[in-house]
Amino acid sequence: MSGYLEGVLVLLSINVILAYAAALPLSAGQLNLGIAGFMAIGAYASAFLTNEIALSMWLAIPAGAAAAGVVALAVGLPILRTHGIYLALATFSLGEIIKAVFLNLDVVGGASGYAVFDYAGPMAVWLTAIGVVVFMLILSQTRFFLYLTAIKNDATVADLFGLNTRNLQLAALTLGAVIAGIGGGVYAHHFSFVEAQYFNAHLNIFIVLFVLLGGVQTVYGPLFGALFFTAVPELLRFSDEWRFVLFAALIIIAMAWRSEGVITAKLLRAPWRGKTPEGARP
Amino acid sequence: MLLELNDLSIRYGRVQAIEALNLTVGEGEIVTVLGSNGAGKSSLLRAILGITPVSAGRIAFDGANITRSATPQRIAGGIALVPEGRRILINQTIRENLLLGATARGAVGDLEPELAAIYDLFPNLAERRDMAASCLSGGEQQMLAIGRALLAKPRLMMLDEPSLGLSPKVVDQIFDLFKRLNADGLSILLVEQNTGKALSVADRGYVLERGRLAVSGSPQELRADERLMRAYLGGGAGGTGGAAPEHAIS
Repeated sequence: MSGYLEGVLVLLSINVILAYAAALPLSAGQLNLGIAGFMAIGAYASAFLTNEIALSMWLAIPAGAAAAGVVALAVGLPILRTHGIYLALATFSLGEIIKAVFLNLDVVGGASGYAVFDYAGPMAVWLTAIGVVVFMLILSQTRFFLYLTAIKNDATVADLFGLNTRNLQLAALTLGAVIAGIGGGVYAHHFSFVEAQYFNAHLNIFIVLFVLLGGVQTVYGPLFGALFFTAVPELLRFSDEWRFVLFAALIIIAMAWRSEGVITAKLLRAPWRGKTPEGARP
Repeated sequence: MLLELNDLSIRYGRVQAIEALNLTVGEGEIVTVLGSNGAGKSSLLRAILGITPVSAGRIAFDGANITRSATPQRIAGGIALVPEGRRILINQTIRENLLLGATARGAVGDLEPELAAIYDLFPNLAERRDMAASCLSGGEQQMLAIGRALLAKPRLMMLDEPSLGLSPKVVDQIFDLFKRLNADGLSILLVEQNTGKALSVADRGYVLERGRLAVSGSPQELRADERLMRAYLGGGAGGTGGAAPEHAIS
């Protein structure tokens, strides 16, 4: 495999992990614009553990993810008092605060960045992404996931069936943060360098766009979104200076054409089930 | 008594939705609550389920005081609500909608036998169990909402305006279903604006007027009641026909 293809697949894998980190809270109706912040916690915490106490990467990355989850749990209750656009703003601010903290934290290099000595090869990154996808496929079949969907679609229904909306929302936020933390840990150990400026607003917006373009209705939407955002800029390399103009135009077209996301539940059901027999209705 | 409300009051800020209401539902009974828009009927059902807090009074279910119990405990105890407007998750499959009903009683493990029982009851739903609920007609959505409530294994099923927006033929079907479920031992508390239909299945009825009990009694007594006729049928014997709008809270 060429080094180029290998690099693109690594990028795709990290984007897939981040897409699911954003998709999980979104399936409960939370637009989390602070995923990069949780990713930063996973990256820095795991790098610190492998660098300073020589912990194995395979323990340090889960520990970093757990740290991201603990932070999400701690800030979850106040943050989840907000809804809709205010929740998006609150998570966005949280992401910026986390970035600023690492920027000023000299123990992990501050503004000059932090070199990571343990190395995760491409295969490790790919397998982690596959693991996250499999986890999400299984999770999407559980009643827990159904409850999140119920909360997103109709808060009254959630009340009627006695769902503990607060705890379920907190679980969605935390699980999303844990996945982002895994992504951060893998990122840090593959690229061997972390700098706080990387986890910025631009990254946060792209992560959410993966999911919104791919679609939140099914578990395959974020996968498609990550693929689109990774592959299309590469495929457009033939037109150097117009590359990002074309890319932006394609995003707009995709979103206008498929406003519910490219991959919808209907799209996945349609081909092999056929249409509803009209005569079956009373 | 299965359900017993004593001097129950519900208020939203300064608005009194229900005032000092006494109501009972006996084991195996169908009881209907009638009243115009804004009479407080939906608030009453929500309070019995514990979604809306009560400001005074007492709710007892099967002899136990549940006035301060949490909603999941009440559902686990055997109370289920089929909400007004059905509240089906139209993007989810029929099966997923049904599964939601089993949630609050804390059901774990294999629910397939219970789902199969619901599919037996509603063959229309069985055929399309893995399709999105948006493919169902209004009547089928109502049946799904009822099936979903049945999966909570209720002893008391509360229904809020189940006939709303349905054709007379479908209304007949679902009211027949209520009678069958009742014959199998399910107690029913039915809130309706379709007075005639509700009284045709009920053992007893209560009429609310702006949160207060106006009349109660057997269907025969209520049908003979001139005030009820005036309020619902647009002018009974000697009535002016102007009573109903007066009661509406705008």
